[in-house]
Amino acid sequence: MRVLIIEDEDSLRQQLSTQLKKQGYAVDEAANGQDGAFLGEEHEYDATIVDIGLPDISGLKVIQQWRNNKRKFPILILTARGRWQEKVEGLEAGADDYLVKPFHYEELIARIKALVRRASGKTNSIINAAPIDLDINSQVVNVSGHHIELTAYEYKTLEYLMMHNDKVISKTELTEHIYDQDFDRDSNTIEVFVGRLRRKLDPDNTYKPIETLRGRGYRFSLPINN
Amino acid sequence: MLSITLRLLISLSLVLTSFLGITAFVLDKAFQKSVKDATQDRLQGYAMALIASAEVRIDGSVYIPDILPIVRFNQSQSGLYAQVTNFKGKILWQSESSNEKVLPKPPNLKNTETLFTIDSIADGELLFNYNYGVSWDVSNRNLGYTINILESLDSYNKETKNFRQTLWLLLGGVALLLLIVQGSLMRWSLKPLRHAALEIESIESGEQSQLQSVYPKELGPLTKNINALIKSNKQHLTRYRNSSSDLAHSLKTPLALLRSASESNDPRYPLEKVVAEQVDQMKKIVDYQLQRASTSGKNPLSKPVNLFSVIHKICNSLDKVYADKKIAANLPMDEELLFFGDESDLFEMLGNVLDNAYKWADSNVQVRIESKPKQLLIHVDDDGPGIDPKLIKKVLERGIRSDERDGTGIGLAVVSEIVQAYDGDINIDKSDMGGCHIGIKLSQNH
Repeated sequence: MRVLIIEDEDSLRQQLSTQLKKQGYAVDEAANGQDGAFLGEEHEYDATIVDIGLPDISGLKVIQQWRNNKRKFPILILTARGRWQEKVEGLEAGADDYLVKPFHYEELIARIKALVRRASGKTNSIINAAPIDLDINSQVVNVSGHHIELTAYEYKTLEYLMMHNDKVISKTELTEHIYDQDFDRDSNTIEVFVGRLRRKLDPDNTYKPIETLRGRGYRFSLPINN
Repeated sequence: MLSITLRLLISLSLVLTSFLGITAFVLDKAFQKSVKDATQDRLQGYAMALIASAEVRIDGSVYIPDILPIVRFNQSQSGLYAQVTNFKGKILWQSESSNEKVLPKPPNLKNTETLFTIDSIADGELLFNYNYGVSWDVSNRNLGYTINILESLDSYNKETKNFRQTLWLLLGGVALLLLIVQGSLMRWSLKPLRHAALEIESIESGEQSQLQSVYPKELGPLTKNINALIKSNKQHLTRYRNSSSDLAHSLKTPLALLRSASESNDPRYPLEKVVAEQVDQMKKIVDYQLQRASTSGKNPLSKPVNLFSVIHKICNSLDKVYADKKIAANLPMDEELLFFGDESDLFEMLGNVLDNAYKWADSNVQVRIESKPKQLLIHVDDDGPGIDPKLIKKVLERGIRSDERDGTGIGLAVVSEIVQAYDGDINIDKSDMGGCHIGIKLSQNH
């Protein structure tokens, strides 16, 4: 999952970024509204975090601009002012949730996870596609009730595929959503992750959870139950 | 800007001057006309008298006795002259008074025809000129004559002059009287305004706190609003002062705890834990006091706010925030209802109450509004687990105490604080929908 943070306060932005990366997110950062707005226009993020009180363009403007340009990703606004009128303004401009500063990182991460889950149309934090259960909060994967040990990138790949189970995901799209901007990408590694996932989730090759569509990408093929 | 007194004085004086000027002009014209008419009548009378005393001879000449009953005809230069001419224009007779005067030549007139003019004669003197045509039968012939009476304008001019003098004197007197009356009326009418200005001055200097006198009903809205404004300002200031001093004082406890934790190295109070706890505590304090300070409270001049639109906006926002719960918000209310107060306060009250309802509701939230004279009742219900009656008081009066870590924010305490600023009250009890019912009563000026 790839997240954009627009926050002018350097230490807060860097700490947020570190916390999100610890949770397995690919994170892009912008220190002002203009750069942030540009990144949001250029990339397909899974969620964005926008500080309302930016020095150049207000966060509200950035959000409005994105929404006018049909950018649909979920937006969480950060605000130092906790007045309801401002919260409502932010949500009306197109944000999906708000957090009033100061906040706990756990709270922020929980909100981001919920936003990403909601954006993919999932109502529950445990995605069940028998026999696979994926808990996006604890990032635990079980197959037939047994815990499966996955590396961070394997988990990210599986989570993205399961979240978007209704469509074909290209290798490029997968790369973009599991690595952040500065990472030296190599799409061959995706094939490696998918291969390992198949072996771990379905060692006997009975369910075939991940389908390969030649030249187009991958699709999570098991029906999702919730 | 011109003072009200000066405006009234200038405008009333203009009206007065033009009224009196027009009156004088009309009266003068009427007087002149009546004097002229009277002169014409008099001169006609003289002509008739002359005709009565005239005798026409057989040759067509006219005999008029030398001594006439109208004495002024007999006196030289008396200012009243007469002459008789025949149809050929030949002067047949002139009065004694007209000796050595060259009189204008009378016109030829038909029987009983008259002509009345003002003419000047050779020496520049102006005369009323009255001519009367008459025909007499002389040995079976009908001959035409003109009786011409002339009178100098001297007496007319004198009369006019006298009249004008009297007129100006009278009108001047009336104008002076009206000016005095107008001035005192103005002072009397403007007295309440001067009085209000004086009262405001003494409010400024701190001698009194409100406008106390009884004012005429036209000034009622002004003085009432000034009083309400002063009151709301004072309340706002008090709230502001209280919240800033409360803020400073209530931050001292967490600060003291932080300091002692950093200095004592007591293993029972690890610094990390104390910092986390006290930062949370300080955040609550700051939030609560900030909300208190930014509450505007009852302000008599606030623009009315549409209640439905605010509630609708908040519900739309909360629908996003609590998207997973799929709450159905039922808003059975008159969509035109207005709240007379600060929009931001309304957002704050309803935002916190509705957030609470959405947070606890199972799937349904309802907002109802009753509008009564000078009062607004807002009811918010949810179908959640409801609230423990023992906790109600605590939730509303949540001062900032360090032991509150139960996850409920300061929202409802903030609402309670704002409701008080609107001379209202808030109550929490069990809802018919099964959960919690929050009723807010707000007093309204309208």
